[in-house]
Amino acid sequence: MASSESTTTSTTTKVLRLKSSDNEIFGVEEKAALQSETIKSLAEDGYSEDVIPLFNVEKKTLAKIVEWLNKHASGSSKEELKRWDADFVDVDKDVLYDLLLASNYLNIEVLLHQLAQKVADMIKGKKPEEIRQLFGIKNDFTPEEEAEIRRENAWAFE
Amino acid sequence: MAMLLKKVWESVSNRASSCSTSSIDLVMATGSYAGESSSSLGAFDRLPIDVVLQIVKLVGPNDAARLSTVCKSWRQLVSDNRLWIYFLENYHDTWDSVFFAETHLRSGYPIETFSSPITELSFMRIYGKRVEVPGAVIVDGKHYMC
Repeated sequence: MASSESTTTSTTTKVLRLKSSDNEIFGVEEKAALQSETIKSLAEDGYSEDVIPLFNVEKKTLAKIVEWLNKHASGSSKEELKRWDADFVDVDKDVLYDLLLASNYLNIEVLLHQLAQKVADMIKGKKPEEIRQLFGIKNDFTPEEEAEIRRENAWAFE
Repeated sequence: MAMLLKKVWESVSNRASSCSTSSIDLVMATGSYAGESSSSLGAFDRLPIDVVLQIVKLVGPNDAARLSTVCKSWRQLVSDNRLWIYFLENYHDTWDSVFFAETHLRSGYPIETFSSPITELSFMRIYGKRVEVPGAVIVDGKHYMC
């Protein structure tokens, strides 16, 4: 941590340095970075001059998260942000899970909610068989058990 | 630096323990977990239980109930009473008196006899009952049609 020659002397904006689990460093304006409660609590405790290591987030995921943080601190209009967010969460399932894990770890509530909503929308209106296929779930009920549970929950299949 | 590491470690371990606490809650709330360890939530296994529950809340009661037929792990997760208390409280404006009535209803539904030895209804079942008798006012376990 000796490379402290960049004292981020800009008078207006302060830049925090976030390090991914695979050692990539991302510079993020403080205003954007503090949308993460985890980073906020680290910064408040005086660690903001140093590199903040995020052991649970790989660089490909952190890059996406930083993109989101910057966009949401950019003062875009509500409509613009809504469109941008819809594109942002329109990714394949693996990326979606990585983002969910990272936003949970970094405690970015708004993003976590958006991602959870995206997964919820993928589930809504689907038949049990379609859900199994979509998420790689094995049906471990016997046919009798399955029929019984379906009967119990008949109201939800109407 | 050591302090920083300690801080980060604390936040990680707090998170880990909060996750394990809620899965213990879940096991306690729904009973038999042993013997079902081979069962899996599929791709959702990677996610903390709190996050999965947040997703199920957003899915809504009908799709949540359908999830219980997907596999044993999902059934167990979706049976969580906290989830159905949330649905009872948030999905039906007209079900105002739910909590007053359901605490009594929960000790058994007198109109119907169960073949299995269930002593206490889960909130998921109570929700299902409410759907079946939507226009009813339920007072102390008896329901009256409006």
